[in-house]
Amino acid sequence: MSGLRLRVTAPTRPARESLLGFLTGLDEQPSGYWVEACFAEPLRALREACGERVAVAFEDGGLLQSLDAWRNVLLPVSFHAAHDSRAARLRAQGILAAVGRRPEDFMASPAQLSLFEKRLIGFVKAAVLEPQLLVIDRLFEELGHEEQKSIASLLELFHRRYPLRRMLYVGLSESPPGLLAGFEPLEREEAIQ
Amino acid sequence: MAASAAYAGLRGFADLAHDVFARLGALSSAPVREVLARQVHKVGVATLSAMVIRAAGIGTLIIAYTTYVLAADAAFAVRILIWAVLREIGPLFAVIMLIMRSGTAMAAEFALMRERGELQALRMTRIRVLDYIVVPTVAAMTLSNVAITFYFQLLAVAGGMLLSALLMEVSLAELAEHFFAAATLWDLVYTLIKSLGFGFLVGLVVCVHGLGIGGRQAELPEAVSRAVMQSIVAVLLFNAVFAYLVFGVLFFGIVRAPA
Repeated sequence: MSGLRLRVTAPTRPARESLLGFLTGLDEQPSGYWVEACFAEPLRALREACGERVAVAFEDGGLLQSLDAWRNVLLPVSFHAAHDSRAARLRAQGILAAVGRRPEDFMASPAQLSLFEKRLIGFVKAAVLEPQLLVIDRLFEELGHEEQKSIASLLELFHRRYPLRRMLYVGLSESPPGLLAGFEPLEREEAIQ
Repeated sequence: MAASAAYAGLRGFADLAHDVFARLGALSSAPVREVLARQVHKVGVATLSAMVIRAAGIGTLIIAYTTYVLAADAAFAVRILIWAVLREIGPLFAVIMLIMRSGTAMAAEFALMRERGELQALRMTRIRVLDYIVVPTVAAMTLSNVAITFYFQLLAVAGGMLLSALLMEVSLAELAEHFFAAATLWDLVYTLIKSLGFGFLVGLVVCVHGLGIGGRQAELPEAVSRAVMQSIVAVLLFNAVFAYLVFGVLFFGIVRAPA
């Protein structure tokens, strides 16, 4: 496992889901040809290196409609009770402040948020857990240029704050050049190449 | 084939019931308690508000029926009211209201959560659906059903006696006297056990079909329909088994417990 910031482009949605399922521990074994044959070993190495401390910033935020967006951010922290919830709240406020937003902007249901806002909240929700591996689920796709720049600045912020933690960007299409500067491609297994 | 499928289904419900009991400790977590409070509020508001007139109407109907049609005296009418409202119709009517008003809504909500990928996101965040959704929902259904049943009984008995006193030639004091003479603590215990069992079963069935537990990944309309139908079947079966255990008879005395 060479780099701390990695990227991979999944050929299909099921392949992406298989990859996320394996990394988050939902599936014991990688499934599907693409994951199993091309990336099984590097993914296993990632999982072993990071254990259970994997968080995903989902493409749609992965938010519950029954809670307002801000409470979605704090749900994993309060559920696992492994984190100081006050510190997590402050961390979340800090991340939002970096893109000029406040918690008060997110007291509405996730259904009322734009795609960018959902992704922003989803990123904050994952980042406040201070994971060993932050999986970034196609956050750049289907966004405008300014929104993409905001997301890129958040990724940079996370990297600066936790320089030894890993990030894996999972896309369904190639991201525009520059946005993923510093992200190395996830190594395919030699036998397959 | 059908028998083995039914056995597998029952086994799945039994396993889930066991898991719910085993994970009741999850209710000590603040977010889970929050879900419990939200579900109790939703179930309570949806069901209780729809009950007042129906409950009082049923109480009046029972007294009027026994007094006029069966030509019974007030004491007998009140005994029938106790037997029907406290023991049989009360718990059944309450749980039917629970299924129709809240069970359908919850099954639909859970099926939508599944379709929107919220359950998958929860699992990937290492939040167990069993702990965060199933346990508080089953607990909320169970507790709410007890409250709904007692509320229904109170309204049916009080409303029935009040309306009967107004409409018929029986005084309220006379009806109340007969009621307190005939009602026993056992009636309350009987109702409590039944309403706990009914609520628990409905909670389980709603979760199984709404959340798609055990591979039952039905579309939203089908999930709601199955949740309603199986809840009713589960409640009627429980009612029959409970009556058999308590009174030793089933199906109007056709099946009798061995002496």
